[in-house]
Amino acid sequence: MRACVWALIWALACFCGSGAAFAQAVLERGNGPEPDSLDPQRAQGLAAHAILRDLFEGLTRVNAKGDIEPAIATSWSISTDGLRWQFKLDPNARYSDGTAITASDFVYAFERALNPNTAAPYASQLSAIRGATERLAGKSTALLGVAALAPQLLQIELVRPDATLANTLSMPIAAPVKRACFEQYGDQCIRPNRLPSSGAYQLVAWRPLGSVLLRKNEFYAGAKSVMIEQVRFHVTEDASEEARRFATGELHLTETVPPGRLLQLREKFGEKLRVAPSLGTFFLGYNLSKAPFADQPKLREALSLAIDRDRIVSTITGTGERPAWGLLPPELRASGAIIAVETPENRLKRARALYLAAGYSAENPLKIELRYNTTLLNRRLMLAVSLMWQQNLGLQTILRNEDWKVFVQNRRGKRNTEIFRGGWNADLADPLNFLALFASNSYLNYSGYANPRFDAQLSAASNAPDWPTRLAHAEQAEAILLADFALLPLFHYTSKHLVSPKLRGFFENPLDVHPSRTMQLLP
Amino acid sequence: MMALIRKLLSAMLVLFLLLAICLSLLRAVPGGPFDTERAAAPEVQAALAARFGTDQGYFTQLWRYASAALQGDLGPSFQYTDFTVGELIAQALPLTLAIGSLALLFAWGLAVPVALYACAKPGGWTDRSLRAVSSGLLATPKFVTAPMLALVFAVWLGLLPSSGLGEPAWKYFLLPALALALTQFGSAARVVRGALLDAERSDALTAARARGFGESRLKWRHRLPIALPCACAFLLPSAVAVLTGSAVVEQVFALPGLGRALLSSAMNRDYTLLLGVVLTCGVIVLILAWLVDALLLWLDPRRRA
Repeated sequence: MRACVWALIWALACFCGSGAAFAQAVLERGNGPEPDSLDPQRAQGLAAHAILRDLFEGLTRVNAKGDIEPAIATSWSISTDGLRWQFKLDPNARYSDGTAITASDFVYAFERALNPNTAAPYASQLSAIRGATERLAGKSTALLGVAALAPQLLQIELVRPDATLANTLSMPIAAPVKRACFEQYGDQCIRPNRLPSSGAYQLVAWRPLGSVLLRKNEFYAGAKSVMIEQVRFHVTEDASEEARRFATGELHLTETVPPGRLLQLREKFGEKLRVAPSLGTFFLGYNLSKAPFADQPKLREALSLAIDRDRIVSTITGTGERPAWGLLPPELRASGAIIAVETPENRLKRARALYLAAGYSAENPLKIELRYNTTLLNRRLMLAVSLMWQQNLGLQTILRNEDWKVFVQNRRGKRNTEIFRGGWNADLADPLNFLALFASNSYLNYSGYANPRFDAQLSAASNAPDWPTRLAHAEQAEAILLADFALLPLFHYTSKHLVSPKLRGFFENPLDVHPSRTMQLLP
Repeated sequence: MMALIRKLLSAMLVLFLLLAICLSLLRAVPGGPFDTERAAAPEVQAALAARFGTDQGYFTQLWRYASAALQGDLGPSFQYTDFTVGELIAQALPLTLAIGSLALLFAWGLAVPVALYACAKPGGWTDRSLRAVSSGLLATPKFVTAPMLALVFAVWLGLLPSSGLGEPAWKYFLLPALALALTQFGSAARVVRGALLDAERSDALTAARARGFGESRLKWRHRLPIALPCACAFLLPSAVAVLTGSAVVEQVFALPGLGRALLSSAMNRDYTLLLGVVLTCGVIVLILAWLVDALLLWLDPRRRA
């Protein structure tokens, strides 16, 4: 009987076994949710982008410290008006199937990204390219601004100078893809052992909702310096489960850590816990298209002043987050400093005065709905915020926690929402990546904020020929946004990972990008 | 032959109704498949809606989906756009079936001998212990037993992996199967025990005892065959409970099975994947019902009349 049971278990194991057992060292990485796509032009989520940065390299790339460096483009030149960029490509650049990567592959990739049928979520990042907006809107079938002048010479023409183009070109959406594969297989090109990739690794196995296995791309120009032979990205939707797998040695690197205080986490994980500031801001948004917040900047200011950010980051979030009084993280300010604020006592005094001036009092309190998507941290945060408003102003808050999709739909619709949970993690180290959320013509402007002065500064920043000018205009735009109290910033995010002592070459960086190609796994 | 055709037609009707109800519920739920933190540009949203057919009416969607499903095409996944639903289910189904079968084997393989032993002395120490243990197991939800098993066997003892799927696969199956089996053992043991006690009071057993057969022969040749059909009738609800319970267990153990796909599709409003998983589960339940019917006919000749 026992033999039968073991025979059955063995048979089942063989039946369900996925992939082959590999003898070489494998870097086991927790990666959050299942990647939505491994098509570089179609992928949207952070989980997908983490894998794609190992699979694909474009003209530029992000290094282990989060800085931009040349990748397939060995060098580039920019015309004096900043509108024409010419990239010299590495003649040794190869896809994982051994075929050469040429300028025409980039032309195809850009055309594909800007084809409305591709429905590329990040297509708008390429809007500075000449003809991009028209092609994306379906008004033109040609992309005029990208041309292969020679097999190893690519030209990109812009409609306005773009100081962040080198950053944008490091994103997966700008990675080259092989036309022949997509023409032969269509969407089925994105399959293990079929997808030609331009990065340090190639796709060898993908078990949906399970894991994605990559193997070193032997044709990669820098293959000799890639130390880890294989990388497995595990779907880890639950941070506690991920930490458990790290504790048992099943993972070398986690995507995040379970909620908890920094001290407790340090006690538990010691030096394995790596916390660093990241380019992200958690804020509350107001629905500015209807009462009670439309045309009430003083009331919005009162609500903002009544919240003690220091207490929130010390007692609610507790993992090194920094209190936020602005939308931009300090790393994206020219001065690099956190906005100076008044003393807590003065803030509270002014908050009460403004609240009374807006026509509310203890007898006639303001009643508002605060909507958020259900997570443990959000629940604790919103409870703390509502208590601070109640204690400091006498305001009555109805907390509405909603399923993620319902919340997103309500927030976008602006019908039911009064105050909502907002937040943003940067795709690029660029202040406009944050500020564009509040442009009057942005589809991501969930508040309905509209100020021509802000739009003008944003436009000036966008057209700035150099980085310092861009930063200066961006800071002026942010100042207008904050003077209007269009949002209520709470804190700037941190990145949190558990890193095995066996893993070398992991560096904390504000973009929270960690390419496997520069890591090393000790025995 | 006619009976078989009738059975197939009624099964198809059941599946179509299941599809129609699920699709109407999905459409009624707020939030759409393409509602994300970073909303796509309106032209991208329109392209996505056209590509996946979400801009069509209910009846058009239902008709198109049902006719495609009849030809074996469950469509592309809305969330995991690189895969078709058929591919996702083909990868997830074997794992769920393997863990489910293992769980049923553990639960019933243990429940039958334990119940037989306990019923040797009804009301005795073993019998009372069995009732207490099975009640305890029935009362403990899977989202409690599953993490507890992982904590004990993976974190404390380090005997088995805590979650995920790797090589050898059987190591990764044991804890999830055990988590599913524990609850089923509780209910199966109670059902088998009840059936055995009923068999004890049956005329057939009284007659066998009057003929002077020994206790061992009475147990294996008489009491068990009388009790088995009754107990086997419970196999179907037991298997269905394992199938539905796999959603929780696969989530806790991060296993890429059908249950996890179901939860993920519901959260992401991945209409096609959810409908595909529901249809697959519907087909499995129908096949199980036929198998259990056939088993009962084989075990109990009186039913063939």
